Amino acid sequence: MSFELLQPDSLPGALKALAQHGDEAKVLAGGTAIVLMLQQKLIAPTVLVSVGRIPDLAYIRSEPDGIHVGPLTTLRDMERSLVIQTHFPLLAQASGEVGNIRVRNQATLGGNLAEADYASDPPTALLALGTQVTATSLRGERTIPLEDFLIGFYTTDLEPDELITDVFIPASAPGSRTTYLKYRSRSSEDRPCACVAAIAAFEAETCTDLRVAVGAASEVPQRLPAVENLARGQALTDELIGEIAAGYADNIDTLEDIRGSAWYRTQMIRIHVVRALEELRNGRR
Amino acid sequence: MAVGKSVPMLDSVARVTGTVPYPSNLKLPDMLVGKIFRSRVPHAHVMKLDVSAAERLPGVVAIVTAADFAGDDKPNLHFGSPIQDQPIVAGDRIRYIGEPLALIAAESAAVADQAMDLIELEYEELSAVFDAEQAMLPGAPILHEASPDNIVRHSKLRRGDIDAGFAAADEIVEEVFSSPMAQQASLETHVATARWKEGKLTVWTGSQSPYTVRRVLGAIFDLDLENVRVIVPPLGGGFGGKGNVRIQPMAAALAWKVGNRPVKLMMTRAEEFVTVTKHAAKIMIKSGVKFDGTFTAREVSIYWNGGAYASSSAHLVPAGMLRAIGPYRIPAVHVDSYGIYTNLPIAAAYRGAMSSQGVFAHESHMDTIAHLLGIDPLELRTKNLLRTDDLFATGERLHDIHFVECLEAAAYGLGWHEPLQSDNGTIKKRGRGLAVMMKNTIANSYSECRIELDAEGRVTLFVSTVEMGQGGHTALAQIAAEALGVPIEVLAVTGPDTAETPPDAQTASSRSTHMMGNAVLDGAASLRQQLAEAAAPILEWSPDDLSVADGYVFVTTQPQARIPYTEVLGRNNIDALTATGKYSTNEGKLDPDTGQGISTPDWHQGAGACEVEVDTQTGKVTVLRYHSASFAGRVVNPTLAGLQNDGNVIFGMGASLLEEVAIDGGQITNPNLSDYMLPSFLDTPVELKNVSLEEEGSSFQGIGEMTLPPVAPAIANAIYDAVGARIRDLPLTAEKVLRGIQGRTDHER
Amino acid sequence: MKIEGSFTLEAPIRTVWDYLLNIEEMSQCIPGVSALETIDTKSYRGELQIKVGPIKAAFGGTVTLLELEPPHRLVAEIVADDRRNASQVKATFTSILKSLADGTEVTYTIDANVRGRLAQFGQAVAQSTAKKMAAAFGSCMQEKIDAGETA
Ligand SMILES: Cc1cc2nc3c(=O)[nH]c(=O)nc-3n(C[C@H](O)[C@H](O)[C@H](O)COP(=O)(O)OP(=O)(O)OC[C@H]3O[C@@H](n4cnc5c(N)ncnc54)[C@H](O)[C@@H]3O)c2cc1C
Repeated sequence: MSFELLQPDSLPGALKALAQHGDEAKVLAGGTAIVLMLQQKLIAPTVLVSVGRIPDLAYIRSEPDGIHVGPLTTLRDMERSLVIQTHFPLLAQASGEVGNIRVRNQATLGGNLAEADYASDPPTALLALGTQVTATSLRGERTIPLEDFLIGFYTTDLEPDELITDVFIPASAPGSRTTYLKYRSRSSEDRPCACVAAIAAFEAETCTDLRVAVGAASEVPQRLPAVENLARGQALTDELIGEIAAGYADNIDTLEDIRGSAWYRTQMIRIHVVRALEELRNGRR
Repeated sequence: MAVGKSVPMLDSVARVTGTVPYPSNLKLPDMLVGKIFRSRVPHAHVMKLDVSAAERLPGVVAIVTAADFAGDDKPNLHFGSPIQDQPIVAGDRIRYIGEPLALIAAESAAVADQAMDLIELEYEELSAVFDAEQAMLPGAPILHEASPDNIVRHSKLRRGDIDAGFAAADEIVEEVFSSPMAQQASLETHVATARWKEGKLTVWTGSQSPYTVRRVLGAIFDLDLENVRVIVPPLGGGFGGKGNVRIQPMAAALAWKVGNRPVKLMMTRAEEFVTVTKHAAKIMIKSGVKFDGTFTAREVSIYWNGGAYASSSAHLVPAGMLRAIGPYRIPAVHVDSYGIYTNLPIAAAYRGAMSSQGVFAHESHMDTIAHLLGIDPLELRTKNLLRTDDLFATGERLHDIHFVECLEAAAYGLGWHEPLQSDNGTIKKRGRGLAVMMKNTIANSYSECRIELDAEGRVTLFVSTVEMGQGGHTALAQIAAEALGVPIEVLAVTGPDTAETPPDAQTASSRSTHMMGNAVLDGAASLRQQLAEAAAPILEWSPDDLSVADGYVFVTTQPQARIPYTEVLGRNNIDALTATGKYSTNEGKLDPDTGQGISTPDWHQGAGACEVEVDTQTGKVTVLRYHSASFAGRVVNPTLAGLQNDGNVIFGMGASLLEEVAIDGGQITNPNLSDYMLPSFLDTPVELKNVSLEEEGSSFQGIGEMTLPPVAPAIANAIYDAVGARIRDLPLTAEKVLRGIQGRTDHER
Repeated sequence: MKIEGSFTLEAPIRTVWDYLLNIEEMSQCIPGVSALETIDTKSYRGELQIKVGPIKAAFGGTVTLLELEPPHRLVAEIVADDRRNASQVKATFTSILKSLADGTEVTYTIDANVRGRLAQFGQAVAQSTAKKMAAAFGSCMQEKIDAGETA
């Protein structure tokens, strides 16, 4: 393992370093993912660009239309943020379910998204929330909807010279109910075997809007708008919930790994979508 | 009295302040880094191994290959205890993925890594076999030409008329159970640092068997044993994986080739998985029973996957035979225990060696029978459990037997007969299960200690008992303090260091507190005698009339006539008193054809009972409550004993629910601790209780393993109780349980 | 590890077979393959680059045709090493062609052993990478066949 460690203390400095070294460089944030890869010798960058000394990349800023979260914000800070707990409880939940407290104290949101490990929690919650990722390079800045940002296994839309510089989460409709369910098939500190994030708005018993994202069961977390729309203008009856759950279970091409077979994951999607929707119907915020 | 008290571990401050001198922290001046070039194919003829380019790389000091061992004046390439079939580095034949082919000593790890890329290997791949039963079939690839059937060892037990037994049965129940390859997963990986100086070899290593390491290194390098010194600092865990001889010959060979500088070899986590594993086992068990729950016969066949070399399998296979029968009265018993070579990393002891696999089988089987006969599982067991004076399947008469007490302690602790708390709703179901185990100990072994008392009254205990977090040294200090009649605070324990501390077989099989404890008693008696003799002229009484207790030597009949023991030596101008203590056992010689004879001086006995909750939609099992019990004879340190019992349960939950080394074509695909899943502290049962049973007049029995083997069957039985699904292959994953609940046995793969 | 899949080509079985056996032409359709050279009529040497997120593998090795049953069945063995990742892939590739009313169905089975460091990278990833490569291969072949027909 031999690489050069750069620790720029400004954003332009970091962007310059990335532009200069291109594919040979890797960004280092909390290091919980990248250090493992380095140790297992799965990657061999010649330059590591640490973003830890760049000021003002860790923040949680509330604005009328939503919140901005800085890429260096730790998952622990997100879990404990009053703003997030109040306005996006499912995101606080999803952040708080990651690994264990030692990991959460170190892991950053930017690292979690850029890592794009399918067996993750925050991306699924963020997908349900309609999150936008801002990527910056010397060439400029662009905003990417999360569903376009996450491309495949460990693969994002980021170019080698780009940094995630902001994560924007639009406000949900007032009175929305939300939940995040993480299913671990193994130990209590494991990554998810499957997870479900759901947000619903109601008028009396009638569901006016439903968003469901299912993660960790396939290459990238998924929303199925056609299935979500089944709920629009309807009461969430057991039958309807079953239909929606089946829609997700049947239409997601599940993967097989050490946490469960493809068959098992399909079952877990069905069950956890049911559980999530029952929770929303029964009034959890 | 020091025995029976929960004194803190002697090194507890060092443990919480992070200053324990683990062997992985060892740094010597001029030390080189050792690295291993390993095979990536499971079975092959080596055509060419060229390390010359690697040798020329600046910073590379030496590279060892099999070629270094060619010649009569060279060290022996092969080692193994007791069967010498394992090469230090593979020569013309590769037998598993990860097998060492070349050893590199370099100035830095980075250089060694670079050198690795310069090694040229050419080979011709051979067909390989990974499954133990398949390896026994005719036509299977042969690993060692000396064993054309790939059998390392076949042990047999034959007792009673098995055919008549089955003929007399009302019901015959036959089941097959399997346990996967697992890994001992000590936090500290295997490590050895070796140095040669003036024809003498010194090795610092994390090992449970310092004297075995010394003997084997002596044989490899043809050295007199006094020229081999093995030093074992406290280990960051062992769990059986560090028994026997593992990486020490490689470290020693590197240092030998280097000549004048020490070389440190430490396994990465991934390498740990190809260094040693737990035997995968398949067990067929068949029992004949009467409707009233009486047993008429039992037949057991066990296939242990031993990996590419005999290593510990040679002596563990017979032990595993005895451990798969079960502690029950059964008139006719036949057992065949096969240890088998396959193209996988070697398998060896894993806490409660060769017990977990067998106990999972016979205790799950007991429940199948109990349900078939409509008898309560506790009742079926207590009806049949062996008692003192019964004959075991080996024909030996049993003594000090407490299976019923152990099992009842666990079961009643849990509230076996109390109604289950019913659940709200139907999704989550609760159930209870229990299990019991019996294990022979190492039957033919030896322990020795030396005790020194100095003029200031300090006592040093020299032992080759390995401290690996279990508190072995603390327990021995307590035993010594009590036997000598001195306060525990004056005790220090040192060792193992084969140059300083006397021989001991190994720290394994829960033997140390019992075996070394008795050696300490023997040594303490002799030291006390010397102290009495030294005090006799001062007190003006005969030594026979003197006693030692509470820090005084006193006249037994007149305790006020006394002298502090600290003054005895000074007043006699003696610098120090020294005594040696010994203890040995000499059993375990079973008839090779029938397995009849006396297998062990003592029996390890333990039990567990638990309550689980099963999510019937996901199959996920939560162990809510667990009660364990082990027979301790006499408890030396209640806190440490409790930690052994509870630690076993937590450890056992890993193998029961989570742990499995995943193998694809001989390649381990989860050699890291995020994919190979260990339990988290969050997984421990909310109610975790244990008891260590004592008996008047009994001596210290080992308790390092007894509550572990019952964990898997207790949980499996509780799952069956909860949802009616009988899972016969470990681990009891959520997916298997769900498939069991849904009646799906097909694996849609 | 077993990877199975299929794709359909709009061409008669014989055409598909011929295209498949034109190894140099065909290999251009496998994403990441380069420097293919013929050793003899049955074996070829080449390089394959695969990238999954940050992880790059560069395999060099040989493909040997083991069984040919024109125009139905083809079995090949692939042995390739990636030095930098200290990894190796050894795979048996079986392809079965079946005539359909309007084309040919190609089913493939890859029985692969991934050895060394990359082995712990995960089955899910390997499966999906192979499937994506097969899909890309399928459409590339179709293009070649179409181009060949018009040419
Ligand atoms: C023991 C353990 C358990 C875990 N359990 C879970 C779990 O249950 N659920 C879950 O979701 N996750 C889990 N994780 C993963 C964890 O969430 C991620 O490792 C973490 O979020 C990555 O963040 P980091 O700051 O440490 O990233 P780093 O390791 O520093 O970087 C990760 C990747 O992101 C890139 N990167 C980092 N920051 C940026 C940026 N600003 N712009 C562009 N690229 C960037 C890096 O180059 C690298 O490729 C677990 C990890 C561990 C070690």
